[in-house]
Amino acid sequence: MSKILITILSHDIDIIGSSHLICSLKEENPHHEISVLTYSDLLTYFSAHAGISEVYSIDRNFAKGVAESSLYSDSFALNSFFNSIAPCYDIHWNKVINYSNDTVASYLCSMMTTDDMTGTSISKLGSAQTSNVWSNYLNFVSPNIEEDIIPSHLVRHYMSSVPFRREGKKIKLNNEFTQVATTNFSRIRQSMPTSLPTYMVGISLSPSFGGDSICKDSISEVIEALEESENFKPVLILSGSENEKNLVSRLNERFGNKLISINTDRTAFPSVALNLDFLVSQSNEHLMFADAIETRTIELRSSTKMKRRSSLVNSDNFVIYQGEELLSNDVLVLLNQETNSELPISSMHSSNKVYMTTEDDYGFLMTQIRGPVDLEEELRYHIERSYHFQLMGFTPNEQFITHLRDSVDPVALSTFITQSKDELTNSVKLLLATLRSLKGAKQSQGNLKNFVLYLDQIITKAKSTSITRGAIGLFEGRIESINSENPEENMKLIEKHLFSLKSDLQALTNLLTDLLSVEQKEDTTEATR
Amino acid sequence: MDDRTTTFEIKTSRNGLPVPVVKGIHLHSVYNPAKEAEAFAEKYHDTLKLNNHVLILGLGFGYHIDQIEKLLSESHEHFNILVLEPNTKIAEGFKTYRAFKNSSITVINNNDVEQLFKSSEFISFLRQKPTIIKHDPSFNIEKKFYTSFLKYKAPTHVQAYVEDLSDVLQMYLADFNDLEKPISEVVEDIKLNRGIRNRFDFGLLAFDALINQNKESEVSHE
Repeated sequence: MSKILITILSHDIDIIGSSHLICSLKEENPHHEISVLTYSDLLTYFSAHAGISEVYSIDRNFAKGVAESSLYSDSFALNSFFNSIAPCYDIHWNKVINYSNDTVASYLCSMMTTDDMTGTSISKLGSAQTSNVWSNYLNFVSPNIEEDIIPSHLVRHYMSSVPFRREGKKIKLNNEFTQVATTNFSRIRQSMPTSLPTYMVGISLSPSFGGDSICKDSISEVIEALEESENFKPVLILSGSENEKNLVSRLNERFGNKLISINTDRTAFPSVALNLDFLVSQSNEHLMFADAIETRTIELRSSTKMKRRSSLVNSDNFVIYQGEELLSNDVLVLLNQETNSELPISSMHSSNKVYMTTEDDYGFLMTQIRGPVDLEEELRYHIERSYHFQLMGFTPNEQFITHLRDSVDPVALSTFITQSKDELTNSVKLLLATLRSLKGAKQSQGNLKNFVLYLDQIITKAKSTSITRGAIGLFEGRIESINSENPEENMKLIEKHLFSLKSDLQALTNLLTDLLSVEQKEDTTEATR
Repeated sequence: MDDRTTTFEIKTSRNGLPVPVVKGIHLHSVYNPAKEAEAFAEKYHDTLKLNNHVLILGLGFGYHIDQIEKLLSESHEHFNILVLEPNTKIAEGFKTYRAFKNSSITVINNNDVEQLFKSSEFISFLRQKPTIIKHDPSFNIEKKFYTSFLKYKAPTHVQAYVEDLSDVLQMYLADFNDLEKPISEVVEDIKLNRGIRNRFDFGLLAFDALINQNKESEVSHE
């Protein structure tokens, strides 16, 4: 048996998402005793998690409220904070995982006694110390990228050296609720006047994590089409807010009070989701719970948030980004496609971008299946993703390279490669200048300032949009992890990491060259001559 | 005010209710304390509908508190009233003649403001942001106490509150030479000069990071 502590001091998405890692750890060894350290105000989000033995919590509102007020002595905040973490630092842990990867968690992890520190901790010199290359990626690459080039659930699994497990119990199912939900849904299915397979389509009316309300017109059109069909039934899912209740009333008014609506809390929703064939939802708890129990999902996203970042982990789900049209037609097209049905659709074309979640040799990804394609954006995502996996030690995906080379418009691909090569050249020039300045700094202390300036410049590139940002982010992490107090040794390590960066950038050169067709390669060689 | 030298007597109102008199000042109406209290509480009617936590400055013989309790129970299933009374004679006299039956009302008889703010129960109550209601006759008699209570500011230097810290924290902080400064400066000292020496330094740095955590970093990443 191993005693594992996971610090999750971030937000709702992370907490619900942590059920996958906890499940994978439990599947790896059912005797693992998994504890979680979180904030008291987030405890409620853990109510549906399976596999947790103990939850420790810090009352941050008390500590912050007391510390911020001149009325109260800081002694209350200090006592409250240290008393709440005392049970954790008194235990000798076999493994501590810094899941949320935030500053407070990193300091706290450094305080724990453990055989194996996984993730970011803080060194005695006060710098961020990452436990492995994946932890380095989570801390120095992921935060700089708006998209999930490598999804966070995969990064956290790799970081914790545990394979992502699809099987296993991620979410607690209340037996009583499940029995009632299953009986009720069976009755509904039996009452449908069809011999065809029946489909229950849940529609979550809850707002997104970002606070967006669902598009009422789109939902209304989807409900209308489903209500008119014989083998589909829409089921409105609420989480209890007045806005949601009002929306149900308005929809019921329109549909003659025929609609099925279920008001569920966090404990009951998984039992409902288990009986749904699809859930149409924004990015919210309903979506994440449904995905965790492998109910298929169609996620609706507002166009203002076009980042390819997903809280989903399973394949064969869909994400629709609202463009100029309502989302209803796309939802119906997807339902038809997935069930071989003929729900009424207005067009096969869409101005909304539709993505499907799928898997390749590297793991989970989102690939566009409908709507206007921004070729540059798509190429950047797929090529950068391939490059990042190579940086993390994966072998190049030859099939992917051949596929891109053979199926993408050669002009567009060539333009993209030229642009990427420019970005690459820019970074390489800076790297070579840094290496030269390092040589100067070794010869004379007076050149040290120049070297530090170059080093800063190159590290700043980790926060740019350059295709080299992943490699430079990893380099920054390696530099931060240097813990020697001996300046000479430090210089040696920096030099070593600069050469590692050079080799990482060379891998990008190779990847971009591989993407060129034979003719283009010959042209390039000719031009070089 | 020193309770021992304060003149304290109890008179009976025209309608037969006991009325405390301190230094010749009647704390309630000598005609009908209950009716006076009703009018007093009515002024807070709207506020009490919105807040179920009330701090009353001045106990008297509690007629005003009875009425506040009545109003609170009309709007809230649960409520808490905390009464602050520094005068021991009033508090003891009240206990002898009347006393509250409702457990939602707590009377604190304490004339040491510093001491009051060392009580974690009292702090927890204040953090509920109670409505503060001043019983003027009581307030005026103990003006010095109530004014210093309302103007109270906790000491900021660690040395001033180190004895209130847990044993573990006291042991840890004993390692620091200078505690005549706020905890934020102790943290700065760790970061800039002293360095990290033991795991409690990490704990204190975590505490500091938590206290300074801005709201932006807590929002969802969608």
